[in-house]
Amino acid sequence: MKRTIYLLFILLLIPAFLRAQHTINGRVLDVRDGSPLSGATVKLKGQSLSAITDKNGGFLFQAARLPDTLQITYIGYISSEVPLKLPLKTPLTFTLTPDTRTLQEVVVSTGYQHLPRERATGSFEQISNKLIDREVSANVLTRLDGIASSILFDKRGTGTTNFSVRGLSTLTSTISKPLIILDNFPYDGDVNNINPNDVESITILKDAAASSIWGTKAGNGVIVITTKKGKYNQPLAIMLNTNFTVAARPDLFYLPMISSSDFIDVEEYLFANGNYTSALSNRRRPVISPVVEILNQQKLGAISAATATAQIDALRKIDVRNDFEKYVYRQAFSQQHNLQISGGTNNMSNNLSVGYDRNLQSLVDNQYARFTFRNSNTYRPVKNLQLQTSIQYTQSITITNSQGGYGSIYPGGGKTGLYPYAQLADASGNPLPIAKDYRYNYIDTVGHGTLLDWKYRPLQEIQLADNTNKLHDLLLNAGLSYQFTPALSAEVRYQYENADGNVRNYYSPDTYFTRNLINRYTQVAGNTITQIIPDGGILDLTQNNIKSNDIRGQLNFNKDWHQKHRVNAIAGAEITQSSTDISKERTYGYNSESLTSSAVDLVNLYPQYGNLGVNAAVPYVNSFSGLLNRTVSVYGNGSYTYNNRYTLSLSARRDASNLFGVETNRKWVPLWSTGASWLLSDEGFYHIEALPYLKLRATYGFSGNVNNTIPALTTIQYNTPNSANSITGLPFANITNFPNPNLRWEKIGMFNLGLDFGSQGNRISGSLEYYYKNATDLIGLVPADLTIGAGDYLNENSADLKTHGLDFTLNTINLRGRFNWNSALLFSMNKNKVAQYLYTPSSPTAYIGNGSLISPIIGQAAYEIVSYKWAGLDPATGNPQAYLNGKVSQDYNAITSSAGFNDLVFHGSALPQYFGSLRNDFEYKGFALSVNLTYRFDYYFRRNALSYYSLFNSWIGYSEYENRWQKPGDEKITNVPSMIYPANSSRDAVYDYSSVTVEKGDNIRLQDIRLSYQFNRSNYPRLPVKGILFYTYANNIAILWRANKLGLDPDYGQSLPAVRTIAFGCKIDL
Amino acid sequence: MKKQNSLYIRLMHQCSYTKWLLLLLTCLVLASCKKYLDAKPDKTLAVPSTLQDFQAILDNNFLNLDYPFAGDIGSDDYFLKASDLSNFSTNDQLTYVWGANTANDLDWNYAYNMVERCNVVLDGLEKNNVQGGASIKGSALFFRGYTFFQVANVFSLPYDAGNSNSLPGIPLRLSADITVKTTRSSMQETYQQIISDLRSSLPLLQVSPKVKTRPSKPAAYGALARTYLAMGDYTNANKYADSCLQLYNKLMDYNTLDSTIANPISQFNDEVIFHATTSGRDGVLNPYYARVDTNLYATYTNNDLRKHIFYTYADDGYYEFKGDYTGQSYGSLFGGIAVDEMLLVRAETYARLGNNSNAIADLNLLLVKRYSKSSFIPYPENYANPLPLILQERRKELAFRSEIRWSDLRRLNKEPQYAKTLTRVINGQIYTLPPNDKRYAWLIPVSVIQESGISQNTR
Repeated sequence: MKRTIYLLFILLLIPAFLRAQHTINGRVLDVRDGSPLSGATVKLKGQSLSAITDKNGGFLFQAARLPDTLQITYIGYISSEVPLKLPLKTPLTFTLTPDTRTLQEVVVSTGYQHLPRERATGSFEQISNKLIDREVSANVLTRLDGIASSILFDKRGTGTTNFSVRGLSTLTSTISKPLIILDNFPYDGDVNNINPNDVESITILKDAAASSIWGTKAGNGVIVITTKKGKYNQPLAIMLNTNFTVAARPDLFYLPMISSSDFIDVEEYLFANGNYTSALSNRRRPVISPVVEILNQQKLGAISAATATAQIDALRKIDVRNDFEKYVYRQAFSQQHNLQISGGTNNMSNNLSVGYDRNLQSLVDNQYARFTFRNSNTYRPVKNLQLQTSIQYTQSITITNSQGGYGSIYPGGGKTGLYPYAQLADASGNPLPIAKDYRYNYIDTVGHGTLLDWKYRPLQEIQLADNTNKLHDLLLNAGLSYQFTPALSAEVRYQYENADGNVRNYYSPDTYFTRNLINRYTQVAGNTITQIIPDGGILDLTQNNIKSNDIRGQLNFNKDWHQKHRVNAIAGAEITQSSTDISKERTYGYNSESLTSSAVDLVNLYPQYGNLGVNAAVPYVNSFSGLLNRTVSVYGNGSYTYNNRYTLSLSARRDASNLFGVETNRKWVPLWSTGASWLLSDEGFYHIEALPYLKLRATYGFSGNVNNTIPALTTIQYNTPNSANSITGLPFANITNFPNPNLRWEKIGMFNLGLDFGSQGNRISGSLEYYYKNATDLIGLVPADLTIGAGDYLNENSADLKTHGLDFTLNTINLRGRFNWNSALLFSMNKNKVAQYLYTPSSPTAYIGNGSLISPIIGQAAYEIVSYKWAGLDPATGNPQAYLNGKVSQDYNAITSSAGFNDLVFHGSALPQYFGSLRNDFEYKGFALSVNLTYRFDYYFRRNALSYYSLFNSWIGYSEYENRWQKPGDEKITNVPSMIYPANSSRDAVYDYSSVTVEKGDNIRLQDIRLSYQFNRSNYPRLPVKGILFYTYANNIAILWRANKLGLDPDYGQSLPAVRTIAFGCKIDL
Repeated sequence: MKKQNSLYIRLMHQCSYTKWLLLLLTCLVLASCKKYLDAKPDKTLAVPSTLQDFQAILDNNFLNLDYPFAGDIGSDDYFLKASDLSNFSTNDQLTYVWGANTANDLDWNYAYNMVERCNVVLDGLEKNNVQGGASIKGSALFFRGYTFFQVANVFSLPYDAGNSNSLPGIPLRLSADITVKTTRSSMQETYQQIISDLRSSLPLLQVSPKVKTRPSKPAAYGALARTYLAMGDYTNANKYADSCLQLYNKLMDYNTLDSTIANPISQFNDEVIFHATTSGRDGVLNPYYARVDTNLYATYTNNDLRKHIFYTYADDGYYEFKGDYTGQSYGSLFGGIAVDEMLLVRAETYARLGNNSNAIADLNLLLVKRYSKSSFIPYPENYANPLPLILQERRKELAFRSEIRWSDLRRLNKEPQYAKTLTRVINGQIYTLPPNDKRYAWLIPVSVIQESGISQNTR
């Protein structure tokens, strides 16, 4: 660490000692409003010297001699030439007049180079700073939702941000994430460590020509995050941004859970049927619900029937969701503060950012706080030499003391649902116990004082919990570039990252975790009580450290010949290394006051108290792991443009790595792409007045995807022996892989055809792209002969996935003047189909599910929802009916095990196949209003449906219980089967996974609204600062239309939808 | 790399900077020198090549804790109440009544996974030419032979010396290569392989290894004795049981055990020669529901300590088994080799070979430690026809010992005087398994038949 700080100082100090001379600098501005023009080419005609203006329109270069003529060109503007002579008064200011014939230029970044989108053949999409800043949130990537075409967020999982660029390219979900690049290098750390305020722009590399430079990492698309940099010759700018966000409490009553009264009715029904007889006499003391205890007391004659009924009726009125909303959830509250200071002289520029975020999450006692610091520096110490450095430091602390929300707190022992009449607190808010792990009546009295209290009180656990995750992440980046000739430059870049995570879970002596463990291991022999686990708390510490080093050398070549031929090429090589070390240890008998701990016998097996479980040793959880990834790569990329009209590009890359992975890892398999573009509107024969800008692009190429977890060799993994995995305590190894020399990389071929267009004055502009993606050699499981001894399935390159899609972007300027109105329409289509899969299950019923997992079925979407074909309820019995061999059947075992393709319904994809947004931006004086509507079409989801088996055994039931078939005739008004005892899980499955529980997902929602007002010195001369922007932002506002009639939010499937949030903030330009 | 560097220094002076940079790039590429990429990606991973690696593969308790229990499901040690049976899946319910089309995929899966682990070790030792690994090789051979026997006991018909060349045995996988196609060997080949694996392991194994999960010489003798007994080769069974007992013969005195506690018998106790268990006690064997067969329970007299140490009252009028040699009453069933079994093998084979006095001596040796101290009167040396007595004591001693009852039913059914028709009664309906029924060989998993094309057991 000391060395790191030292290195830091050196990097910071270097520029102070260096000085540049003979500098020509200045800014290029739009003549209309003085806004800076970035990406303009500024060129000294006599010396073949040129520069591209930066985001502020600034440029800077060294002239060998003067006078000369400065030529300024910028696509979409009329070129200008200005004579320069000594003495020169810098900074210079030039203005350009727009040429209404063409579009504004955008500079995109691939992580290896910045290039004007004009000259690229590939499919790039850039999200500007303004769009990124539209949303208020702590995570930069989630801000892409609804503002970037081709990006689809899959919100069905909980807590994770899963998204894809142009859909799926693999069938293995663990390797389906897009590659994230931060400035120049892949970002290994947690994306939450990047402060969105530090992001200047995001470029999405969508097709092969754009992304194949990243080779085997690019198969799922690439997202390049470009951070803010200072600019040369920029006066000091200080910007303060601060905001607060409030979120609504989640509405637990959105979930269609069974009512307490119905649940109790079911329990009484089961009790009468003798369902609990075994459990009530079972000496393993399984969990018994309070109502069943009351019924049992009544049966044993301990209480009267009247008392029992009165007690039960009192419980009927309780809904535990009220307690959850009151005590477990709260209104989430987040705050974000950020200070940016940037400025630059003629040879150095700097951008410094300090940020602080604090989120009090919707679960009580869960919170997240983050401090970020970022400093980036650019120096031009001598002519032609540029040094860039940046430091990013993030410190965060996550506290997760909540025991989880509704659905996460349950008794256990097979009961994965909580009886709905549970109470978490009494009338005065004191925590109340719920049944947990064992029968409540047993733990209530057992031990007669020799044991610790054995009750579980969820709310008390929240107060006692002490779970923190502290993270430190340091990222150093340095780049040195040297311009040898106006055409040739070379650069060396280096990045170092060191991220430390410390997870501390302290289970104090009063926590259920500790009490339960101590009690279980308490030994009773006559009157002697022996505690195997010492008094005191239990402390689990997990430490993880990620260190990565990336170094890259690259040559850049840029040359124009007679304004006719332009060559733009890069070639380079890089070496990367990333290591992860994780260690976990547990201390028993920990006293947080005196910092003492106790020794514990981890070796011998002990009977569990009251024979509640099998003999076991005290849990031993210590573990260590060390991972190391190394890659060596060479790459090259070049384009040739003729007459500014025709461009041809070529890109290639080779990778090798140390991963045990597929055999081809060791081989230098090249991945390449090629592309061409044609500026049609530049042709002499082009005369469409309405569309003065029209460009055609076509690319084709390959990228790859590596599954690191599937080696080609036999590998074993050593395990730390503990009571759960070893009865001898000897070190042992597992065979993790059997050799499979035929494994290859997954390969993704992609064809892209694009059309860019712009109308007179850019009133209408946009692009239309069609792509076709053929992912081959996808690794999937194929069934194996069990006798081989490698399990049921083996991984093979066994599948192909074909995808085609459209991305359409349309920007219109509807009104211009005092009142401005702009619209942006995004439309994406993405359809995939499994073209080949070497495995067909013995019955297609294996495909039945809710589409949350990738299930490759030839001819169907990767996330296909498949159901039993519903045939209604039997009018006589209320039994569910489905098809078997084309006939209506009630043979549930046969239906679930051997229904054929024709007996099933293939609904379609569980992910939207058409999606996009319509954003309208209005401006009037200082007011700005932005409203975003999003839409998702052509997909399906499965709603929650009643299963008597899980209702009886796991205590999970849904409110449609009240609509169940009860008498002949009901089949006309309901699809919910009749209740039978004992429950038949196959019968339940036929209904739960039938076509009647699938709904169409299509919806249109009002995603968000942002309203702001800008105070400027121009309109408020007495303003103490240069400007203040007040803004408010509301998110997840409402679903305007949905195809399903049940009021369900299809994007969240069977779980709680995102809550509404509203943010207030201001941005002060000091 | 060093050499390359000095080369660059020399070149540096000669070349223009452009060329120098190109060379720097080349250097970066050359830096891919094999060593850099040969680093292990995960420190806990290894491509097995050393003695330590192979020992670690065999010390994985998977090789001790995952033996088949389909035979125990089929045995008559236990029964289920009809009300409890309805809690089980359809397949489980069918296995309880020896249904013709039941699946026991897990037994097959685990057993052949163990075989593959042994083959990885055996192939690896050979391929890497590792020296000094005698006991490791012996262990792998033992585990493979022992597993093959367990598989044969469940998935092929009882050994039939007269027809062993025509009857199907089990697949014998002898190589780790996963591309080798599976074939089904004959019954003769199967038992030959079991005996050859176990015999080959004998000279390699230690007499008393560090832990009882590692195979030993007495364990290999014991496994051979058990195999020969199943084959009806009483001479060899007697010989190997004797060899086993010569090396290891400690017996626990049940008078010293506390029958009131939950687990009176401990894991790795003195009688255990080799520790192994079934992969579980799932399905109808689930200890929550499985009750001790009432006829079996009735055979224990009150002064028989096993009645109190093996069994406990289950609150519903029946008894549960708690005397497992795994030291746990709710875990898996003990499927290893213990001294009591070996004594009983030797006693039985002595009796069958006509040496009644030795047979009775062995029986007395065991029973004196099983009956209440004051009450046991040893059987006289000249006890006539001790075989039924020995078989009866064997039934009582080895109840709930994995696969032993099943194996005994299979072999004794061939002798009319000991043959038994098993019955299960559910709500008045009677299901039977007559002696020598084809269902004494459980079905091979359907997926195996599909993938490999080997022949299925007939019904």
